[in-house]
Amino acid sequence: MLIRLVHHTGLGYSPVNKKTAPLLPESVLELARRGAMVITFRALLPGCHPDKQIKKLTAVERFLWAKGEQLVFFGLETDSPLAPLILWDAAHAAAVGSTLFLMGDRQNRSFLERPYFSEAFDLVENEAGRKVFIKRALLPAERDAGLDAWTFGIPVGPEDATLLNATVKRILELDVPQKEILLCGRPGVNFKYFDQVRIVGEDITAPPVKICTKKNRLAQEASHPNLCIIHDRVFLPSNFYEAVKRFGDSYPLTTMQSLFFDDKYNLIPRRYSDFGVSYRAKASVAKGLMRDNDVSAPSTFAPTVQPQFEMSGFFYGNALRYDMGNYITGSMYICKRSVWNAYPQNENLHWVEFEDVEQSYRSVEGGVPGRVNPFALTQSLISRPVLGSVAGVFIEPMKGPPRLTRAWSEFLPLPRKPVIKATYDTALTGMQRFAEKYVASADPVTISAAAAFRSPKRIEAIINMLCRLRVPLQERGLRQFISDYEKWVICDQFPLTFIEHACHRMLVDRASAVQVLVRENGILRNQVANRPKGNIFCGALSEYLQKRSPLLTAGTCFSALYLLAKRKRMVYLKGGWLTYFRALMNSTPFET
Amino acid sequence: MKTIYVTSSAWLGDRPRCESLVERIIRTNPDEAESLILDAATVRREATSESEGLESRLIEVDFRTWVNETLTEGGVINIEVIRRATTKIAKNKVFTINAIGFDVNTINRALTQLRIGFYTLTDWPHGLVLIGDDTQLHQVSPVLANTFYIQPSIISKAVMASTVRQIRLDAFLLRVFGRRISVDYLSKWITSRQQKKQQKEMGWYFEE
Repeated sequence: MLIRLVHHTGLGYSPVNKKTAPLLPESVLELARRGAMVITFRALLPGCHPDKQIKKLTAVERFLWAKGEQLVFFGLETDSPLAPLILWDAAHAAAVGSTLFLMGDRQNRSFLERPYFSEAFDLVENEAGRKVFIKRALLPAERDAGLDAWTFGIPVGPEDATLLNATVKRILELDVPQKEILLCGRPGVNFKYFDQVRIVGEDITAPPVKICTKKNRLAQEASHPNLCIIHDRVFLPSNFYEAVKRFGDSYPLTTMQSLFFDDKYNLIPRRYSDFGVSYRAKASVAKGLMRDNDVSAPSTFAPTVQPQFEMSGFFYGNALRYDMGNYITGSMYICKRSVWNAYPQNENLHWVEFEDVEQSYRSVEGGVPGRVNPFALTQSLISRPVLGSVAGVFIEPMKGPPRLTRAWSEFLPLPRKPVIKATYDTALTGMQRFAEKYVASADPVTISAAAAFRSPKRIEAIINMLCRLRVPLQERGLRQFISDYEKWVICDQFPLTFIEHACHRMLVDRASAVQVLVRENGILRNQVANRPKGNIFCGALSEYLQKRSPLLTAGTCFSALYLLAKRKRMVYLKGGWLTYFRALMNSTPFET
Repeated sequence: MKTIYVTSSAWLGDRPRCESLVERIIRTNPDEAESLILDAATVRREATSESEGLESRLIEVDFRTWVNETLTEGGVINIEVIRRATTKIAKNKVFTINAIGFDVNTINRALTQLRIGFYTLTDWPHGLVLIGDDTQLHQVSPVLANTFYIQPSIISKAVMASTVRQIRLDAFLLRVFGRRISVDYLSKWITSRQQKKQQKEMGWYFEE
């Protein structure tokens, strides 16, 4: 059987036709005539026709149907960036004893020679342009076959459990035949479902937040073969089980696209922390030593070089494309337990230290690509302002180069959710604590309550504090000062490059704290742009949950239309307007 | 760390009393960060030298060694020497930098390098004394006060209001127009307009 694949032209990949690539050789056609399944992007000799042609191929298609005693891929890795995804599926679909031919590629090392496949596949023939593999055993993901039993793991902390309650309630509502919920760490006292979850990893200390240790512990403790590790702010779609069944078994490291609605009517959608792409991060030059000081394995992810690594440029990825620079963010992982345990997160890294990028890159080096399930999407209950830019975010469209993308409704004066997940009291306490620690004793400052409610008053209070500071220009002291400012005053995370910029400006350029931490602070400006008048902080975390109303349904309708129109540029789901509408409604966190 | 600016007249006029006063200042609330000025009149008021006969804790660094005084490099500070000097500065000591006779710019540049050198030190000395000309007192002492600490500098209500207004305007533009045509774009456009206007007034710019 001869199957010809054709990329979706919208992807902008190099065309593969008779004018741009050699034709499929007669010898390969002969293999197809003898009963082998030949899959190729190459054009055929005049007069020959493929048995099947798959057009508009994108990264969301799966190849679990590619089965046969003999499976031949001709020029696959040369012709298509999607080759790792196709080979992953074909390798898992192939029965033990079947033969895979990789022909017409000039690469020295094929994707199937990566460590993940090495135990199951024997390379029996290795000539230039011809590699023959025989499958001797099941692959790790196949040993965990089946989609009926799931372990949902959530790393948690001791803070207010209002949002965790919503997340766990949704998991309990899912129609998955067998499921368990694992929490790593003890949740806050207002957690409602202690009797329906299993708590593990209480011995893991914080700070620093050892998120990698927590996620690895969840995978180790999981009773079921399918893992879904999410953060406590990720609200799963109610049709989660249907979506994973439609996507199919033997999936690699997978995620779902994620949105955050900034308003209360589902009218302002923003892509939010699902998967990304970086074109330069893999080739980052500077390396450092990880926390174990292992000189044999210097890394670009070492804490000392992270500010440089951050400058590599990170963008939101497109579900339709695949690139070796793709990575799944730490918010949500759907994967087989054995796959995670084969490529766990690096426990030398802590939270917001690119631990997700490191894991994705290491696993793809090992042979496990990351991909997207296009049958559902999740919503984030909250948004960290550093990721939720009012001015838009860079998203890779279907065609390729990332573009600044922003919903048309961003500027509308709609009722919005709080921008920072902190209560008014927490905000005021934080600012007062900061003032007590750093403001010179001769000129104490009092923070008015309005500073937590009104944006202009908040900026005034911040300037008032910063112009009365006394801070030693000592590395440890200055970094601690910026860290406290970030935690207690801005209540958000600064990019590492901004921290370096601030230290440099204050030390070398003698710039004032007001100049650097207020006027040059894009995070603060973004917070004010998000909420020009007020509503920066929340009264209660339940303000993040939506109320059912006709207005919300109407807003969701408009957003479904908007997202459908932008399906190649923002969020891709398989289906039409109704699919988008259902996906949005299924993942909206309603108040109960 | 306390930073003290001592005028040359005070230092050269009665050094023992000067040292005694400096030591007394350092001993009083040693952990409090302060910046002081000692002029000749202040030193004269010091009754007697308390540390007379005792070994002075003050370690003097000659500023001259920090500056290249060759004909071609006159007044150029030697960064390497300054950085090496900072690593030798130990805890519980008081350093005296004798910068009498040097111009303000050279002293300021050297202080900036000293500040960068001090940045990575975990332990700072208890005190740092800078001896300079009387005529430079009010030029160098504010710089010295701000060299090792971010110090309070109160902003007037008017400046604060204008800063808040500017941030709100920037945020408004960002919200309405997005990143492409917002703050950066508009500020560049306004700057280029102003430049063109100025150049036109000066006759350097000709519009077709």
